Amino acid sequence: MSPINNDWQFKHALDDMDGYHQRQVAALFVRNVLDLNPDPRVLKALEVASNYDSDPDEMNSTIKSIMQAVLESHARCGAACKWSDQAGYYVARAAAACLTPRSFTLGKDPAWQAALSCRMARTSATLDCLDCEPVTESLKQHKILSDYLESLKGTEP
Amino acid sequence: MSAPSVEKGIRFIREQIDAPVASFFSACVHCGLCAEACLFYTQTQDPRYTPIHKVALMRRVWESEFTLWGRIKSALGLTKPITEADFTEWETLVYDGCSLCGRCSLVCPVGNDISGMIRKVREGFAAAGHAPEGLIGATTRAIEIGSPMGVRLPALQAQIRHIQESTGLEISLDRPGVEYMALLSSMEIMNFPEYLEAIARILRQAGKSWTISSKAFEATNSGIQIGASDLARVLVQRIVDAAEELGVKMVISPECGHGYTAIRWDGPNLIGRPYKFKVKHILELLDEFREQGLIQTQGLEEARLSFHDPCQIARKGGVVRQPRALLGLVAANFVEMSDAGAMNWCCGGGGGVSANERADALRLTAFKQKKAQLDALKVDTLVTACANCRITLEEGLEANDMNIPVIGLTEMIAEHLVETDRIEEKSA
Repeated sequence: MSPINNDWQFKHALDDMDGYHQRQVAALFVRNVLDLNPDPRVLKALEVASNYDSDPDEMNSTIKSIMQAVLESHARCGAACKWSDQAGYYVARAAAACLTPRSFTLGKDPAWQAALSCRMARTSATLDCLDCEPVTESLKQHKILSDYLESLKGTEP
Repeated sequence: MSAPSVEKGIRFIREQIDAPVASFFSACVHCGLCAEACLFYTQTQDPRYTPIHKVALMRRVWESEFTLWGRIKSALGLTKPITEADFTEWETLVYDGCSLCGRCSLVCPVGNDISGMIRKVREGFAAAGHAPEGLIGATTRAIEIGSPMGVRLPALQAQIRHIQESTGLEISLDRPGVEYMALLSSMEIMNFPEYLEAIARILRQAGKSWTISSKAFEATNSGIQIGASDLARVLVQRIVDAAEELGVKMVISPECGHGYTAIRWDGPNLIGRPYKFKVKHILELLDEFREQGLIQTQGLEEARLSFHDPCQIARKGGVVRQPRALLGLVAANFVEMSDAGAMNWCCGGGGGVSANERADALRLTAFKQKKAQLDALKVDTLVTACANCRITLEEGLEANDMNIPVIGLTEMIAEHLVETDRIEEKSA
């Protein structure tokens, strides 16, 4: 497969994936922005998302706990914004997207949702930072997905 | 501006007493119906949360200064003066225990606008220095920065870039001569970027030209919430100036309840003249598009879902039919909540309550009403049209261990649009 170079290829490659692979690759996107949110609930969500044999009870409790992490990290109405904190919110949202049932998200692809939230997280992190490099998260995600698809070659019938 | 003081607070309350307020106090029959209509009273059973009691300080000023008997009592030294302790005691009733939802006004058998009076009495509390810290901070930032949450233009520009890059949609700033100027709430910019993407998708399909003003993109008006009409006027004037400079025909109020009330209903009175443009809530506009056949949707949500009417949009704004007509396009299993529409129960976070950390526990107690409504319905999904309601509902649901996603109606409509692949178009 040729490398993914733009969002059109990126989204279509994601569209072609089943739910399990979507969750796996979504978790990889989130791991690339983990520096923006050290909450252990995020890590736990990624572990469960990456595991094919996750126990349903564990899945449910992890969804509950990552949703709590999302709610605890959102900007409060009327509160002074801190974009570095908001980056953490978007990381939590991305981790939640890895696990949230599609019925909760208007049927949106979990990996695409996670990718968008990770990009928002990186963008948010740069808003309070004058010296930060321009955001290139989408390019990194193209590479992550290309590598992931490459790694699947020969492992599946 | 002089420093806050009790005297200033009393003066500001006195200035709010006009003929309608005087007639409201004269007409009150002490029936107690307003208590039964109030979220905070019904869920706490604390009589101090009776709506008419929340304006007791204003009643004292009215009685002592505007009634014959009160004047005689005052002349004889029989009137109890309003003190710092009174302001302290009533502050939590006026701000923490009232979301300005207007349900009390709707049920009042003699037509007293009690909610409007509470809004007015807040003017005195703000002037006396008895407003919640969260609202003071939000109002200061709104005046100094242009957003109650301190969202600056570069943050909005970054979000626009993000949406443009990932979707191929075009979102312009400061484009003169277009039909619509869209407003956003800071909550949408910070927490729900999907709203901006949704309106961009819908307006593109409807073939409408639109823009966002870099000088006035914020819809929320903390001046209204805290009770500072002079500051509320400044915030409205910014939007009016921007809309008139761009020459737009209509300003679109976003999924923000009190932002709609501020710009649609309070605004012209605050600036003392009619607008040269129309103002509509996004749901009103979307429903017009639906009627005109300008938006085409496909597919239906199969989940059992209900709609939470934001108080400012439904009860105060009369936007009740439109969300249901829109849901008819995309929802196969819509069920109506008890007391839906104009009589809907507030989420508990309006009127600045959600910006007031001190009120958190009370807000979650008040949420029991919404919980009861939802328990009876057993829905899979809850839809609403106010970012503040959305967050308040999410927090209440989480606190009550209720696993129900909350979704914005505009976003839901956008997700069902029949549209060509946006990214494909961009790449081509």
